[in-house]
Amino acid sequence: MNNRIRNQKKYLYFFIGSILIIVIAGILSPIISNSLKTNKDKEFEEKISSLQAETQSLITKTESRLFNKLKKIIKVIESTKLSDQNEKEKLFDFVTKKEFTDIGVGIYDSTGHLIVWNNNHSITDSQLRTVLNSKNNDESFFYNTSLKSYLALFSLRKNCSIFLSIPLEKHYKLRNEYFEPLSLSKKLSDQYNADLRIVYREKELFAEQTPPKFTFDITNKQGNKIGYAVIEKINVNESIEKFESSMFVFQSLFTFLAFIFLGLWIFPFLTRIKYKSIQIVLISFYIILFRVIIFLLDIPSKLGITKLSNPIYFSSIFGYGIVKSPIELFLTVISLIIILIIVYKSIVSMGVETSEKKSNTFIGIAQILILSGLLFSVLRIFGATIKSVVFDSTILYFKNTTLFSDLPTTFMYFNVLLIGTGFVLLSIIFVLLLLKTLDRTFTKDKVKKFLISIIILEIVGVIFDLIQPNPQTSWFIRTLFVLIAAIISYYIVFTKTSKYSILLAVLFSGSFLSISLLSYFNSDLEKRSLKTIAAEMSRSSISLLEYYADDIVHSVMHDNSIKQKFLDKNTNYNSEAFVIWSNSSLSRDSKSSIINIIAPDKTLLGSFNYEFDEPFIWDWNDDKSDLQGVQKVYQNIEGTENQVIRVITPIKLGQKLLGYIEVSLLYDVYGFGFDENEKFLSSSSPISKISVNRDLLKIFEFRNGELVNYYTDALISEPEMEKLLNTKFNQSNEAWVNIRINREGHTFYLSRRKHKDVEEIIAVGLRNKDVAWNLYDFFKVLFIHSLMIVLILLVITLKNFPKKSDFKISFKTKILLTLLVVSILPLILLATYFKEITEEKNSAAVYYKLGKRADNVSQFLGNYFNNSTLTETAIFEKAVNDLGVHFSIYENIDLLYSSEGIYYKIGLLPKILNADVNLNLFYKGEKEYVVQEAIEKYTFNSFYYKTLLGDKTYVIKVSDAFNRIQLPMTGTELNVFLFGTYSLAIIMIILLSTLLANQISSPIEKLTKATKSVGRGDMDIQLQSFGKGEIKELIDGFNRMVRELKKNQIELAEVERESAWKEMAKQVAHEIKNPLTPMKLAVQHLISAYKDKSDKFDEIFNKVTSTVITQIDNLTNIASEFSSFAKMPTIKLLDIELVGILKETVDLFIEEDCKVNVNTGLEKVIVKSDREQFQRMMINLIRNSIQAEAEHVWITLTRMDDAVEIRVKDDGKGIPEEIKTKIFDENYTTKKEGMGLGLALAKRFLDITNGTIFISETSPKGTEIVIRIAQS
Amino acid sequence: MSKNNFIILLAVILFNFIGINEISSAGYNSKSAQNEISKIFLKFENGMNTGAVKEFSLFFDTETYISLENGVSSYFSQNQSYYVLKEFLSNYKPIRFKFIRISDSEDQPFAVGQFTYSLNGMRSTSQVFVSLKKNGTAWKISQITIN
Repeated sequence: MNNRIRNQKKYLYFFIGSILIIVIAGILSPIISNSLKTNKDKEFEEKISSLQAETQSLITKTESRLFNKLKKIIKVIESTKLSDQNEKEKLFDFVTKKEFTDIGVGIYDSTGHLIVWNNNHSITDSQLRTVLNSKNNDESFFYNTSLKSYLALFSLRKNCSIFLSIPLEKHYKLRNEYFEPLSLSKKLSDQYNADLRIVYREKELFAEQTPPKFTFDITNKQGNKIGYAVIEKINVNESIEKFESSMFVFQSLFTFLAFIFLGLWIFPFLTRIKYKSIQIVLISFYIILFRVIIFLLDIPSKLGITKLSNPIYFSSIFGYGIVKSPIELFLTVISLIIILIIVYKSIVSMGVETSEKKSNTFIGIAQILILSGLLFSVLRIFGATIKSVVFDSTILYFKNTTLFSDLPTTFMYFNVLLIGTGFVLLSIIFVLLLLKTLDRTFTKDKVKKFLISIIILEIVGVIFDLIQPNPQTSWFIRTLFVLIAAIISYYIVFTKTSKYSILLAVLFSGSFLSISLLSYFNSDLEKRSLKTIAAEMSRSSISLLEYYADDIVHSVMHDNSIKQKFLDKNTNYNSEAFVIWSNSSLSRDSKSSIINIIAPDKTLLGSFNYEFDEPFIWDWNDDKSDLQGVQKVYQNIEGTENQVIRVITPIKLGQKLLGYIEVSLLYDVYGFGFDENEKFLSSSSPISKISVNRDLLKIFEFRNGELVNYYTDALISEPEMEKLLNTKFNQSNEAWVNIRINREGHTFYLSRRKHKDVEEIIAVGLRNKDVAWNLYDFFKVLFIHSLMIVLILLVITLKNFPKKSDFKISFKTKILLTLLVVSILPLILLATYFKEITEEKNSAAVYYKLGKRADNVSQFLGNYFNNSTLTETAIFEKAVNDLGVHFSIYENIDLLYSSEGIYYKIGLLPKILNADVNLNLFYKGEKEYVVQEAIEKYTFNSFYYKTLLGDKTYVIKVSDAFNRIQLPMTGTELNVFLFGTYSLAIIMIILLSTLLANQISSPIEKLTKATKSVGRGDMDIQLQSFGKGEIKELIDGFNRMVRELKKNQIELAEVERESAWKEMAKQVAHEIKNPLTPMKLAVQHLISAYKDKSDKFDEIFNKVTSTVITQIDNLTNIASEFSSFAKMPTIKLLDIELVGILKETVDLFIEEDCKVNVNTGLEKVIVKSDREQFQRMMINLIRNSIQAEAEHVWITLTRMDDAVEIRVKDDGKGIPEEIKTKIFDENYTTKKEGMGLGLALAKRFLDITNGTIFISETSPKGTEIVIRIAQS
Repeated sequence: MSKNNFIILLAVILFNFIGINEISSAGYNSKSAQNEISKIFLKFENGMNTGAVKEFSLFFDTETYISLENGVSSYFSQNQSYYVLKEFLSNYKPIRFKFIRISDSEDQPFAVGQFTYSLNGMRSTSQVFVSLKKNGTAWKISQITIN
């Protein structure tokens, strides 16, 4: 007790300590903040020098890597004959190894020709010549292309030269998931909270108007300046902000801890409150307050949980933002679940079945209706919550076909599981209360109660759905919800299902229901997505495009790096145009546009176009004068309603005109706005983030009843087209319609708009998902939830069984696990094998189809090379048009032509042949070679085919980046099929295995429990056996054994008793004889004195009477001693805990038909008694009730002022009035067997241990025995 | 005045009355729409100046396209739009926001503005584009782009 008080007090001290720390921190914070402000200048200087040191350090490290690689290459070259083909092959193998993954390698022969390279080689021969003129041998330097900047190294050896490069900065961006950002400037800027720009050249080609304030040089190993860095901006208040932020986090954490300590301190007081309901209210209040404090202090984001605090994954304005992000949602749900668990435990401990008399029917009915109404309100809230999870989130729960997504998605899956679990728990609470009301009001029969509750709930559910203006669930989910809550409640109340099983059932039910709702609302979301796609297609407006154009012009005008590019003779203007485009909002929005870079003489230097191929024409002014200032023009495209916005700006250095940047944007009035470009260039547009699979989409555009544009893999028939066109539109010019395309059902959203004389209809449709897809969607999430449930159970198990030795797996669990492993493992192996085979076949199909195309191209070119007068380029273009195949062609190792030339022009794809391909085709003698290539993280397959055309050797390249290859079963479809169908099989296996395991283990479990009961002295136990076989024999043998044991016990007791009685009688006789002899002598002496009329008669009389009295006293003592001896064996009085013992005792009767319950609101009750005797007494009382044909026994434990009261009530046939008083007598029994000592022994035991026992009531409907024990 | 003339006069007056009413109500409707549009833009401007998203959050459409300087670019529900912008403005602390061009035409109302902010203690500016769309009878913010 003292230890406990001490433990409690320590939490109080911690709480006070935490508060003090918060206060002290609050006082000190402004003082420290002020001192930091005074040191601002010094700190600023330190920061600059630190940034400088870090920048130089990173460059030096990169330089060291280059030199290390150079050493290795030199070592290999020195042992290689470069003129030998085989030796060169080894060199190729060497430079294409993994250690050179991010390092470009180019080895040139003595004539300056490239002989060995890897796929990262970044410089062309002509560029190299330019670079070498200005650079020193074996010294690192910065090398720039329009797309990237590198740290490079050139080494001239005896018979070759080596060029190495490591990229440091990418100047372009791709707005999709394939882009791998690389920026040393940004990395340092972020690290130091500054705006740092690294100039990857020794000096700018012109002096800036406003020279930057802070610059520092970057040097190479030799100490020569190779570049410099400019600090444009720096956060001078960084340390103050960091300090204040840290202080806030510090104070928030201590507030959080203070609250925890407060809770730990007051919790024991709360649990001692007499009334359970007040206890629950106070604990709930504490939990809610705790949650609110965490929310107000914004602890999750302060702790740096940035991804999960990001509202783009999920946010809702419900509760003033208490669910404004995934982590906030989690904290809110967990708090509510804790409260629900406390309420649930309380209700379960109180029990559903009561011995109370029936309550008023009308009150009962009112309670039932209210509870039912509340249950369906809960369901409505459940539906609304999941709906919010779907609609207020950018996470596409079913679109992604990978099992394990990123952290926010997985976390939201977990939240969905918790939400489902919470609502199932809440519904169980309501159903338990409903069952309790039914028990009190209508019937005690458990089956009737269960069925009535389901019927009532179903009826109320139907009415609830009818009165709701906008039901949040379907009838199917509602029915499922009711059934699940009812069935789990039944198992909790009417069976002895373990807590683990109940927990498992609640978790899986929560998962099942929440996934069903997720799927239900996801179909709504998919429908809405069709609307979003239609809206996205018409989101572009002329004003938006104008805004984009103005934005680009504004940024290029103020960008000095563009001026530098104009002055640099080696600029690739096509790449430059691409860089401008990729960094602008045009790329973010994938707008059809062109960026032209124009010379001062109005000739085109370079351009990049995105889905807008227009030839360049200078039509800004007719004369030769320069344009002054920004010009903008809107041009109509002949024959259409479309417009082109063109904006041009001169780029000047002082007064000198360097050139022009022209931006043209296409405003397609009726355009799709649908990005059909290659995936690696397309932005992650809103359409890609919409909850529909693009492959299932179909889009049709009609103008005045004519189909003018479409995006589909299957055209619709005339009747279906008519159906679309004749659909009735609502007031908002919207409509929904279902049609069949290629015998597959599709749902279409139609939007109509009128512009002058043109009526345009956009129809966006989605193929209805088939069963496999729906199964996959469902089981994918269920699988993820299952893993989470397993983890939860593991954590609970470890908590409950901290010592490994305490943890036991039951026989049933072992059988179940064995069956599962034996069945599921082969299934998984089969699925894996099937997947591998299919993927292999898919790869083979891709290679075959690409190869076929390459072959066709080769044959076509061969024919034209031999028989045509067309130029090479013309022949190549004809091949592209006639065959419909996109290809590239190399002459030796240099690119000669590509139908996707733009990507080579801008430098996204290298113009030099793939090193692996070169190795295999030209060194290993292969005719064809397949390789996986990549643009950023976008991988694709390329088929290279060596062919002879005319008298020259060419290499034709066909890839699936530019040629669509149809596969019989894509990776996605395979995953869907495998996962969906195999998951169903696994579910069935789990169900069957559970049934089998139950059937096999049930008799063993009964036997185990019965053996324990026998060990505790219950010899009346008999097990029932069904069926045949070894188990029946075992059970029969057990029953026989128990009967024999009981018989022997009775006989032994009889014999012992007889023997004891005999011995006792002998002893009594012997003892009694002793006082009787002197008594006889004394009386004889008195008679003699009387007869003799002796003088001393008085004296003799006194003496004799004294002797007789003394001997009578002796006899009395003898009798008392024997009586004490006959009492019960020694009782050990110790502190025992009654609640645990009662529950343990009740467990022994688990297999009996009679239902034995313990009802108590008390957690722990300590009394002084003998544990063994007490338990034996309780076993006896229960056994008596069973023998009196009781179907229910209720044991109630309550605390009185100075005692503890146990009431044992049954519904047996009662005790007849005439024998009521004799029932506690020894040897009195109404049973045919037994000594009849049970109640007598009980009474004797209680008499000794300061307790009482009496019958409070008895009737043919049942008996109640009351036991009172004084409290210790 | 003869009976016929009187009736004709009455009819003319009646038609004129109806016509004037129609014209004035049409003008009124157009004017009220423009007022509503201007009001929304004003609230947006005020909200962006102070970082108080709730000033204009009521006007978010059921799905609003939001494209921000920090790379966020998607359609968001009303609920999400509020927090996405709130989160953005908590990092990109507003110094000043002003519309430099507003078009309140009912065809395609839009506005372009300049947003000056402080990010990690460093000042910078971005261009902002906002457009409205009619949803039922009410004007809603359909698009916000901050570059």
